[in-house]
Formats: sequence, C-alpha cells, structure tokens
Amino acid sequence: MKLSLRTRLLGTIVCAIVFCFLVSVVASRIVLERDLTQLGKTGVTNGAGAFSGYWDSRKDQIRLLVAQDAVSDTLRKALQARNVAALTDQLSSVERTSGLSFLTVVDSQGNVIARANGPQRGSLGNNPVIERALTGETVSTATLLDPGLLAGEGLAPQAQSDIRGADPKDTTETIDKGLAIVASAPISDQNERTIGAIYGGVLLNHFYDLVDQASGALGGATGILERDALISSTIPQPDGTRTVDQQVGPAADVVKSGDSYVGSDVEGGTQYLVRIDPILDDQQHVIGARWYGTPYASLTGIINNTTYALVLWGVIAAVLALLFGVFVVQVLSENLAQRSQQVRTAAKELGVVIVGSEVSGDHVAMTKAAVERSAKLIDEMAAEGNTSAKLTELKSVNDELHGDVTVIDTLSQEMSNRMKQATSRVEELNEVAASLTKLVTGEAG
Amino acid sequence: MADLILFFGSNADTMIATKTLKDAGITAKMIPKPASVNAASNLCLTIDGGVESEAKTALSGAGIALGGIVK
Repeated sequence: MKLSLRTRLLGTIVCAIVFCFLVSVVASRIVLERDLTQLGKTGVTNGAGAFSGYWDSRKDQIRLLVAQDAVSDTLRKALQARNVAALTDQLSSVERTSGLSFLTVVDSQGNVIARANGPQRGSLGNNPVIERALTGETVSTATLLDPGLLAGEGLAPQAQSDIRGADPKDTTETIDKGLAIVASAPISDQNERTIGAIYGGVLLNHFYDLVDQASGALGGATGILERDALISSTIPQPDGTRTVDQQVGPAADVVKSGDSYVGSDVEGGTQYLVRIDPILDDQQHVIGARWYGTPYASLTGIINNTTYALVLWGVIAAVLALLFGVFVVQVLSENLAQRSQQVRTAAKELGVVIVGSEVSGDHVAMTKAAVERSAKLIDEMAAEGNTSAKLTELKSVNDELHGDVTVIDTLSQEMSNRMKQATSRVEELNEVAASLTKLVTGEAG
Repeated sequence: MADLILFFGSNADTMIATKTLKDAGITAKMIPKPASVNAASNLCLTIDGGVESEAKTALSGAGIALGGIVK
C-alpha cells in the first residue's frame, strides 16, 4: 500500500511524539520511584533514629526513677527495719505514679523483701542485673525477663502469648518470656554499705505507651519485637486493631546478624518501607528489635500522582504538537503539490514549443526548396536567352533570398537539435513532477 | 569601408555573437558560410569594416571565441 507524503509525515510525527512521550513517562517514573524510595529510606532511618531516642529516653527515665528511690530515706529505713508493709505501700505508690510495671526491693543476698505487685517472696540473687546492683552499680538495660520472675511479679499473663508466623502457613509458637526495660540500683545505709537493691522496669509485651507516643510524634508506625515477634505496635490491622503477636519476617535476620534492616515489609495487609534496629541487652546480645515504618502507599501515591500529571499534561502537549504538526505538514504538502503542478504545466507548455519548432522547421525547409526552385527557373530563363535587366535583378534578389533562407534553415536545424535535447529534459521534468505528485498525494499524477 | 566576415567555432556561437553585437550597438548580418572560408560552422556574420575593433572587444567581453576574420 502506497502512503502519501502527508500521511507518512503525520505518521512519523505521531510516532515520534508518542515514542518520546512514553520514554519520558517511563524514565520519569523510574527516576521518581528510585529517588523517592531513597528519600523514603532516609526518612525511615531518621524516624527509626528518633524512635531510638524515645527508647533511650524511657530507659533513662526508668533509671532515674529507680536511682531516686534507691536513695530515699523512707525506703532505706523500711528496708533496715524489714517493714514489708511500709515497703510494699511505698513501692506500689511509686509504681502507680511512674508507670512502671514492677518495682521490687531485695536484701543484700538478693532475697525479695517487698514487691509493688504483691506479697510473693523468693530470691532474685541469680538475676545478673540485681547481682550488679548489689555490687554497688546502678544498671539500666533492656532485658528478657524469664517466666519465673514474671510470675513473681504477677506479669506472666501479660507476657505470655501465641505468636503467629510471618507466613500464614507457618505454625504458631508460644512465648513466655517478656521484653522489658529495667533498672536496678543499690540501696546503701548511712555508712554507704549496700544493704539491698531496688529493681524495677516496664514490661513491653502488650504495653503501648511507648509506641503510641513515638508514632504520635514521628508519624508512621512503630513496633517493638521480642526477638522476631511483634509484641507491641501501632501497626493497624484492616479491622482497626493493632498488629501484635506476629512474627516479622525480616526481623529474624536482624536478630541473627545484629545488623539493621532497611527495606520492604508487609504487616497488617499493608506494605511498609521499614527500618528494623536490633535491641541489645547489657551483655550486647540481641534480644529484640525496634520496628519503624511508613506505608509504601505514601510513596506510590506521590509517584502515581506525578505520573498521572505527566501523562495528562503530556497528552495535552502531544495533541497541541500534533495540531501544529498537521498544520505544518498541510502547508508543506500543499506547497509541494502546487510546485509539482507548476512543473507539469511548464513541461506541457514546453512540449507545445517543441512541436511548434518542429513544424516551423518543416515549413522553413519547404520555403528553402521553393526559393531553390525559383532560382532554377531563373537560371533556365537566362539559358533560354532572356537577358532582360529585370531578370538579372530578379536573380540578384533570389540569390539574396536564398542566402537568408539558408541562414534561417540552418538556424532552424540548430534549434531543432537543441529542442531534441530539450525534449528529453521535458520528459525528465514530467517524470519528476509525476513523482512529486505521487509523493505528496499518494496517487499517480 | 569594406565588409568583414566573422566566423566562429559553431552555429550556436554564431547566434550568441549576433545577439552580443546587437546589444553592443554593432550591426551584424548573418549569412551562409562562403565556400572560400574554412570553418566548422555553417553560418558567419558580416559587419562593417570600421567597427572591427569594437566588435572584437564586445565578443571578448562576452567570452565568445572568434574563429577568424576574412576581409
């Protein structure tokens, strides 16, 4: 199928516009996605840093509370007097007002003297944090509380839970330890001898103050993991409840390697860009992780909106460019068609001139033949003895006429030869004009 | 003064020379080549002998090669 120049030019313009447009949109989207993802990673890294700041702040707050209680005269006197009731009342009062999960006083052997949460006694002498406190050191750290300690404090039900696997096909597991921020400080008598220690902290399993406070200030979602299990979070489920008691896939590697993770994670049916930082105990063992993330939808929303705007304005620009292109092509093709028509008309007129030249050449040849015949007749008359002066003058005029006709005949032949060359040029011109017409209109000229 | 006969390399040159001399204000008449003149073209020009130098100047100015002059 032969296409006209107009169709081909317009097709080329349309294809070029569409191609450039698609390449621009795809390239913009790729660059935007890469840059925004990088920006998002920087954002979650900063958010995770701030979340870590809240964590450290809470740890310092607990350390301060415990350290203040450790130097309380009332507490020291009650411990020296083994006044369990007074100790319990004071510990309960401090626990309530400070938001601690438990607060316990032990003697110098690590035996429990009083607890804020109840009358259970027992020994915490093997607890490494209390051991350090009894040596005179004030300790503050994250730690895993074992079921025995949790039971003694009445916190076992808060810590115990069934953890769903990251993959729904995975089996559930039960955890009975609790992740807590704890502090312990020595209690000394007036002679600065250690007579016991105070031990308190916040159990973070199903404890939401910290994550709510961090999410409220930082935006995004936060979570705390005991090893790789989410035990507290602000990550919403589709039904609006919190996502807890759930394994987090990428956290297993963080716990194993101790390195932070930045990347994608799906929780509660939502894809997040997250940073997961390890939580270390005082022995630098990884015991859990802090999870901070922002929904990918906030990034994809920007990418989609920008792409949509690019497409919309690109289409508008393409239509305007196309209209301009159609106008230019129309003008060009009309000019070409007009020129082609002019060439054809000129070629046709030149053809008439050529024919006229041939006809006039024939006529000159006939005239020359007539003059030569006339000269022959004059010569015959002279040979028959006609010597009149008029015949002599006639011969002279005829000779001059013969000379002029000979010149005209020669010129005519010269022009005829030139015209033959012109004929071939005219044929070429006609072919060019026909090609131009065909090129422009797509139809035979 | 007697007429001069100018001849050229071709009939085309003779024609162009006619026009050139006419534009230069020199009267020239085209005639068939006399049998006594040995030239490639069949046509010659005859001009007045008094304008020979002007004719030569006009022809050389137009870049037309003069084949010869017969007096």
